[in-house]
Formats: sequence, structure tokens, C-alpha cells
Amino acid sequence: MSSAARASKPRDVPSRPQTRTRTGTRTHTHSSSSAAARTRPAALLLTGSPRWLPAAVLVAGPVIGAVLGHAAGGYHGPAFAVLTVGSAALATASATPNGRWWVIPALPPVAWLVAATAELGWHDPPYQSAKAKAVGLVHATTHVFPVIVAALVTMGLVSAAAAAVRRRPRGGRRA
Amino acid sequence: MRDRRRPAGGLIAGRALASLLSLAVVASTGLVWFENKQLTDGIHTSTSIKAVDRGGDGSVPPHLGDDVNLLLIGLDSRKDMDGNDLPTQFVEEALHAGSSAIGYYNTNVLILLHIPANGGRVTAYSIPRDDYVERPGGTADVPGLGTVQVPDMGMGKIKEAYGDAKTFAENKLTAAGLKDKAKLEAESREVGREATLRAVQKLTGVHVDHLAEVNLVGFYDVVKAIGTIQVCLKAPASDPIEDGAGTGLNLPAGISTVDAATALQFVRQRYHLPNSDLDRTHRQQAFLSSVTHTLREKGVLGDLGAMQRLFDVVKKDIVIDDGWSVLDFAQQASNLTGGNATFYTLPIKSTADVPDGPGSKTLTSVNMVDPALIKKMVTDAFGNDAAVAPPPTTPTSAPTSPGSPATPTSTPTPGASPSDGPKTTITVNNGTKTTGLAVKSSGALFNAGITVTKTGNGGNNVAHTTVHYGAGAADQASRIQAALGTKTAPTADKSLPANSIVVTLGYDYKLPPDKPVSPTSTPSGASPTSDESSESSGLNSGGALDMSSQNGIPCVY
Repeated sequence: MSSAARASKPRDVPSRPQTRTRTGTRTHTHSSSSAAARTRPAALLLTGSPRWLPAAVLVAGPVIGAVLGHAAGGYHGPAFAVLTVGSAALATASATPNGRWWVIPALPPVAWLVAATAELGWHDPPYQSAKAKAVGLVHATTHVFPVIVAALVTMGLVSAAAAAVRRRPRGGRRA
Repeated sequence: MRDRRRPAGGLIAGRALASLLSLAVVASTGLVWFENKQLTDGIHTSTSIKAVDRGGDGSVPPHLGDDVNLLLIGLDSRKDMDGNDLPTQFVEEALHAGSSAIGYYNTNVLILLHIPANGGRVTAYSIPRDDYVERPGGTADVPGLGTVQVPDMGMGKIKEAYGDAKTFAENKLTAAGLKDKAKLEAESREVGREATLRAVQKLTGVHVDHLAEVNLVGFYDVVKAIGTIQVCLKAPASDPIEDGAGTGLNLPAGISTVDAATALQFVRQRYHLPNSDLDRTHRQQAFLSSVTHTLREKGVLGDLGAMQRLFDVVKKDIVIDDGWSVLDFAQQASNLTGGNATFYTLPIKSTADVPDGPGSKTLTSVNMVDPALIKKMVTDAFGNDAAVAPPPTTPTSAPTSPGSPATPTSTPTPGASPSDGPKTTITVNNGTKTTGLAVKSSGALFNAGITVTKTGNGGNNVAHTTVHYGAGAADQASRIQAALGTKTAPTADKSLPANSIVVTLGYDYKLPPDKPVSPTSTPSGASPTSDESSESSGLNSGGALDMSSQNGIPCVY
């Protein structure tokens, strides 16, 4: 079915106001306002956010944090921690329930990869031997683990908040 | 009715896979983080290097590059980190270290190591503890007191810089009302470390990047954690405890396997040695070499778990600077742990008696040094790292080192001459008034491949050296006479037991000439030709001690 056809034929399913893609992000169907009003609250905290936002934020946060931290003297500084945790929260909030199944597990490898790349790429003087690089990776891991834990806890809280919002009755008593 | 579609099987599998991958990353990073934390948790740290870096006399700008200058401080204190006396019974019976009143906070070990970033040979300088040097003052941030000006302590023994500054800070803190004994100890020791750092940097002209301080128990605990170490003596050691002095060490010449208490005796002995403190300095170097050798032999250096267990034991005795990454050091110091290191002792000009403190009428013996020469020597050596050295191998120049398993704990030294059988007992007596001649000649014989069993005195005015031998020892007696270079032929003596030789040194015996290392020609990357260069005689402080000599167990007096 073409998108035009979908648009012309609203999917008037009360509990699913949006179509869902395989990756769990959603597109608005712009169904009738009455249909929208009948739907349950959106399964995300940030309604209306673009589908690419969770993934983009999840990667951009640690990268920007590392760059800012590097400029301030060390990639693993407060900027890295704050932006990683913040972007993790934002990514979770802007993802659908299905999207969270992908966003949350993606955080640890993404954060670790950013830290490892920064450690090996920016260390001065550069790590020469494989043994030195291995020590560098240990440093990166040691720096990033607490940030990963903090980010995961934050994501868990945001997910819980989203679930609570989803379950909360909205718009008064139902007929 | 709510429309709840069940996710497709593929989606569930994908989610599970992603979750598993994520879990694996979290678990592995967590494990690494935990292990790294375990390695460093509980270690006492010091901010003294940063404090000294703030400027003032004794401050040296940090060098560029990734080389590491590490100062090892061995504290002769019988107190724990909280300032409590160690149990008297432990100190006297296990450590053989006299009462808790002895030692104060003397830094009896000061070794400055240079670890090149290029993986080249590690160069280390021992600073004799009695070197008479400038001990600059400086500012110190003392919690509870704010910034305190520690006065310049003038000229004095470098070993006393720590204790003098500590006492100053302790008095100030006590006057300010600090009653917490542990805090008092910790804060005042920081001031002591800063004073030592300033004195060392002032003397050597190089920046100290990291420090490691270990107390008396630390030496003991290190060996106890390892089990035993092997040490090698050129001459039999006998250091009876007399009038509270001495260590009680009794070891034969050659290689001996010793436990923690004996290792501590080995490293602390300074009486009954040809050159007293300077020989003790060589003992300290040999101790480090032997510990490293044992750790390597037992595979501890390549086993993180084993290293961690060792660390767990010794971390209570060790203080390191707060900028020191144990992991980085383990990686940087691979040449040190691989035996690719040479120890030197800073030269002294002479000894002198000076007042023991300002206005004191009591005299104390000190080592006079040439600071300009030392500064040039150390900065040259540390600033010109040689190219990466090949992995250490058994030195071809290792002298023949005969063994003499005189006790059950000693084993034959590699390279022992077959003719120098374990049954031959060789006694060397000093028949002159020259102090230490028997021990020194034993060292000379050791270098010639002959191990002396015992040394002693044999009169005061013997003119000609004699060699008497019992049945079955004629050949060995001839070799001894040849090695000594004396003219009187060996004499058979039926009163002596079979396979025994007694040498009585006379005034005709001349020790082999010293082979001092010229400080100005000390090559940072050069490897000494043999451990003969570590002869510790005269005032040249001895030569270099190669950690790879004698397969990592250098022989010393």
C-alpha cells in the first residue's frame, strides 16, 4: 500500500494512533482529531519528535561531550558524563516503547566506543605498542563505566516515567 | 479491547541479541573497572609532588615527553601510617630492627629511577643517605593550618630532611590543637615528603614525576608476600647484634635463599661491611633486583591477579603520589621489571664531621658531595636516553661466581668452578690493622671465582700472607695464592681438617685496584661490563650494578 493510500485511509485503530516502523519509531497518521482524542497517551514523553532523534542523540551526546571535554583538558571530564547521561535520557524520552528496546542496549557500546576512540586517538604522546594501547583501553573503560551505569539508570527512570504516563488515564472519565 | 500485537519472532530475537550484547559490554567494562579499582583502592596517596611543583627553591619544571622519573623512598620508621608504634615484639623479633625509638623518619633509601619512554634501559641513582646537601624550605598546604611556610633547613644529611620537616609540621599542628593522631601523622608526613622532594630535586636538578614511599614493614611484607628471594653475597656476612646495633645477619658467600626477616637484615646491614653505608646502598639495589627477579620468575609480573594479591598485602605499607597510575607504570616499567636497568650510586667527595644540627657541639659524620657534578651527571644521564635496548639476556660478562652451599638455605651459584667443591672450607683472616681487609679480599677472591666460607681476624702485624691447607685442598690453595697475588707458597698443614684452607692476610697483600665509574662518563644507555664495576670501595661510591647480572641476582658485599 502506498503512503498516499495510507494517508487517504486513516487507520482508525483506537489504541494505535500511529503507524509503527520496524525499528519502533513512529509516524503520525494525522487521523481525525476525534480518533486522536480517543487514543491512549503516546508511549513517549516527547511527542512529535522525529524518528531519527533517539539514535542521533544517543551518538551525538557522547561524541560532543568527548570533544568538549578534550578541549577542556580531558575527554572523560564532566562534559562527557553530563552530555552522555543527558542524551541517553533524551533518546529514551523520544523513543517509542519498541524503540527503547534498541536505544537502551545501544548506549553501553556507543559510549564505550566513543571513549575508546577518544583515548586512543587523543592520548599525548600517542600509544605506540599494542600493550600500551591495551592499557589505554583499560583507562577508557575505567573512565566510561560509571558514566554508562549513570546513563542506564537514567534511561531506566525515563522509561518508567514514560510507562507511567502511558498508563495514566487521560482526558477525564471514559464513556 | 486493546489491540496488542505480539512482536514477531525475529524482533524478539533482535531485542534479545541487542540486550545480550549490551549486557556483555556492561559486564566487561564493569569487570575492568572493578579490577582497576581493586588494584588502587586502599593505597595511601600523596599530593606532595603537586605541592612542590608550585615553585620555590627545590622546584624543578616538569620535563617534556613521557619519560618517568620515580623517587623510591625507604623510610626507617617503626611506626604505621597512623603514627602508632609497630608492636615491639614484631619489630625486635621479626624485623630484627631494634626498638621503636630507633630510626625516626630517616629516609635510608633514596633511589631515583629514570624510565625512558622509548623502552630503553632504566637508569637509577641511589642517593647515599648521609650526603650533606641543601634542604630548601617552601610553602605547604596543611589542612587545618592553611598555607604554612616550612623554613629552609640549611645544610644537613639528606636522610633527615623528611623527619625535620615532619617534626616542624607536627609541632605546628599540635599547637593548633589537632589531636587526631592519624591526621597528625598523615599531614606531617606530607610536609616531610615535600621536603625530601625539594632536597632531591635541588641536588639532582631533575623533576621527580612520581614517588613511592615504603616503610620498614613494607620491605618485610613484600618478601613475605612473595615467599622467599635469592640474594648473593661476595663475602660471608656476619653482623651480630651488639649494643642494640647490628642486624643479626649471618649468611654465607654466594647465593642464598632468604625469607622476609633475613631479607630485611640483608637490606639493613651497615656494620661489618667494607664501606658501611655505601655497601648498604648496594644491598638495597641488589634487593630490588632480587625482588624483581623473583616476581618475574614466579610469573607475578604478567599475572594481574597475582599482582593484585601482592598489592593487597603491601598497599598498607606504601604511599604513592596521587597522579600515579599503577597501570601506566606497569606498562612503562616493563624494562625495569625485565631486568633492563642499571643502578648507580651518586659519588661523594669525602667524608667529614660536622655539627649535628645548628649550634650543636656534637659532631656527626657526613658525605661531602659536589652538587654541580651530581646535577650534571644526573641531568645528562636522564636527558639522553639511549636507543631502545634489546631484551636483557644473560650477560656474557657475568663473572664466574662460585657457590658455597654452607647452609641449607644457600645454593650453588651458577658458574661455579668444578674445582671449588662445596666441601672446601676457606677461611680468610685479617693479619693487619687495616679494617675490613678480610672481607674486601673475600670479594676479590669471589670475583676470581673462589668463594670464602668465613672471615675473621688473625693478628695485627703479619708481614707476609700465608695460605695453609689441609689434605685434599692443595690445588685450591694454589689458586687462592695466585688470585691474591702473594709470593709465599701455600703450606700443607696437618693440623687442619681435610679440604680446608686458612688464609692469613699480611701487609704484603694488596687489594686489586678499584674500578670507579667516572660520573661524567656515566652512560645512560650503557651497560656495565660486569659486576666488578660495583666494587664499593674508596669514596667513589662504587660503580654500576646491572640488574641483569648474575641472572638478576647481583652479588654485593
